[in-house]
Amino acid sequence: MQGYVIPAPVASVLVVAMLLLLAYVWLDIRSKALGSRIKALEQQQAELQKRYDLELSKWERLKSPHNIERLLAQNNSAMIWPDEVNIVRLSEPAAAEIAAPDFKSQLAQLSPSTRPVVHD
Amino acid sequence: MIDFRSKLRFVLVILIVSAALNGLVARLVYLHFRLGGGDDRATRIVESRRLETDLQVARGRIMDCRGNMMALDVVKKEVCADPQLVSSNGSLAKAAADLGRLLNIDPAMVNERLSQPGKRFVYLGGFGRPVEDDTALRIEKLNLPGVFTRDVMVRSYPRGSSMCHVLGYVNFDFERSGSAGIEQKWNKYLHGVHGLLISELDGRRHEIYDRRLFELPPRAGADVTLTLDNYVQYVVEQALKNALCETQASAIWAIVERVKTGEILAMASYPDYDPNQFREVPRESMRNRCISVVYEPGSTFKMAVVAAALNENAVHSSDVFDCENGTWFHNRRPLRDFHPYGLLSVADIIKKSSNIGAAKVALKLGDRKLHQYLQAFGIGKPTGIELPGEECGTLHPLSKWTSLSVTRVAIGHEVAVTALQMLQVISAIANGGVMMKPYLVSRVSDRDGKILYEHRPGVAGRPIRPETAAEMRRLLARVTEEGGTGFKARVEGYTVGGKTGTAQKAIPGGYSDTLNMSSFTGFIPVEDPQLAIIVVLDEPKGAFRTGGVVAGPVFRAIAEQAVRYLDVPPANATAGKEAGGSKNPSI
Repeated sequence: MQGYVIPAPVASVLVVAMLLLLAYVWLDIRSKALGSRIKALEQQQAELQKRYDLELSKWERLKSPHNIERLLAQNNSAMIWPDEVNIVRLSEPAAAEIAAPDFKSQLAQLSPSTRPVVHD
Repeated sequence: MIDFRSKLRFVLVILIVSAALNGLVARLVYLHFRLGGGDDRATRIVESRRLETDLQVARGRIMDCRGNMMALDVVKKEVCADPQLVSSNGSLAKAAADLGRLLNIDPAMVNERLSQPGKRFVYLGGFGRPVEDDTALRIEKLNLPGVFTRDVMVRSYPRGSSMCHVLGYVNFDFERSGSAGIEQKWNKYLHGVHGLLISELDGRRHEIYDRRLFELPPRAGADVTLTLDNYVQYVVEQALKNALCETQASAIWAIVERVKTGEILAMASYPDYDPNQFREVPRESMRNRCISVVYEPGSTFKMAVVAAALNENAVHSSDVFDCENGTWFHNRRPLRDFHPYGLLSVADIIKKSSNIGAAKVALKLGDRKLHQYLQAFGIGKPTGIELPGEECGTLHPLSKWTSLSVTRVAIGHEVAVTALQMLQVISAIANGGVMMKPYLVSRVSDRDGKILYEHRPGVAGRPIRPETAAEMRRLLARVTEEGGTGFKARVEGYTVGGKTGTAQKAIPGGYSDTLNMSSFTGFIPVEDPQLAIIVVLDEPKGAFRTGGVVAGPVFRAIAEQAVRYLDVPPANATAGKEAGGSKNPSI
């Protein structure tokens, strides 16, 4: 045997140190990558928010009654309210109208038999 | 020989590389241990890498009652330059010409701004004047040295001048504080809180994420939801615009209110302005006349006087007064009617709007009682609506009333009101004697939907009894019948109650014979009042410029669309519903 043999404990320490170093480097690279990704996503979110707000602003302008009327006028159209005579108003019947006798008479038509129903 | 030369080369290379590495190490040690230049150099290095920036925050949005955005923040571009860099590149003339063309400003002005080599930063479009996205893109494509664009948050009012007097506007200062209307009054909710970021930059001036030292995220402003309805507001604005053209009035304003809750559904005033360009409009256009202009209400005030007299049982609606055929002297001062009348009942005094009749009713009530009732109706004090700049009007203390005052106050002179105060009077009558507090903001919520403020309708007062209010509604409904002064305010299929008013304008030394304030205050439908509306015209022109002639049709134009849109059923439909069935409405 020629040369110097590194003692096993020293070699182990060196290996562990190397592994720790590699782990540190790997974690550092990974955290940097995550940081870059977070930053990119933050910028993307800000950009999307900016575009969303701009589009929202445009959409609000488009759907304003003034703009709709203007566009209708450009197409020689106009929206008018229906005449009062053409409006059919439906109101909920008063509670008294849903009285028990009417309801029972309907039941009677549906099931004329007064015999008890047997479920089998 | 060769062996010696190659060895020499090897040694030389080693020496050079070692020298370079030693130099590098020496430099690193020098920098790292802050040797040589004291703390200054190290501080400068640290400072140059330090990033400390305010994180911009969006102001809260303002929405109408249906969630339509009326005001929101958007990010736009502003054009800036580094004059020193522009000058050193010798591109001054080209930059001035190109930017002048794209920004639509005089190239000489751009040239002047860029010809300041001592400066490192100037605005080219002007401070707080962002450019459109396509313009910014074209400027960026020019690649002019020293010229750049940067993001800036601006307030956008997508609907232009709609609701401008209620919304207000936002200044261009760093804090971007609201300077009028809701933007000002509700600034504490709307403005949000800036964030702060402290971090380090890399050699390319990009932030190093893992060197972030401190990050305080910004808190966006809370959203304010108004009671105003975008469509009702549009209807009102259109009606006012048309009326302004027809009558050539110097100004016109109107308010629509729900009488049962006090919600303001529309509040508009002309002339108006676009809050997106608030710096280019005259201050006079920015006045919200609905709350900041006080005027003598004229005959619309008679309803308050008669309501007070009826409530005190000083008169009954069937009592008859002598209206003196148009001219009556009281304390040796004449009082005249627009049309001469003989005997008129109290009901007809309202219907025909007799000044003499109203003055006699007021005399019968007495000045002390009249003053008390006017105070109860809220005359002379602000309504407390959530807007800045509300006037309180004028109601002189009783001690300052002369022997003539009671007859003059009865016809709406010697007092001054805002349109909102006058609307409150008729709302109280329409709402069975209960006067609700008017309000514009229904809710404030943060971006997560958490409610920070919510308004519940509140009672402002009960100036008259419900029976008196019912009687007054009956009398005011006659005003829009055939022969009444408010005939032109009728709405097909509905019964309308209201009162016309035409007051000569007060000028220095007396009253103008040619200038007047014409108004109509009304509610609809009479049987179950839902909406109260006031329309006021300042100095309408033309031969016929009474309230009934010029303001009545504007009331009708607003009311007939508002009742359809808000699905207010006509009187007979309500009656049918009460009877348990539906009937065809009679027109």
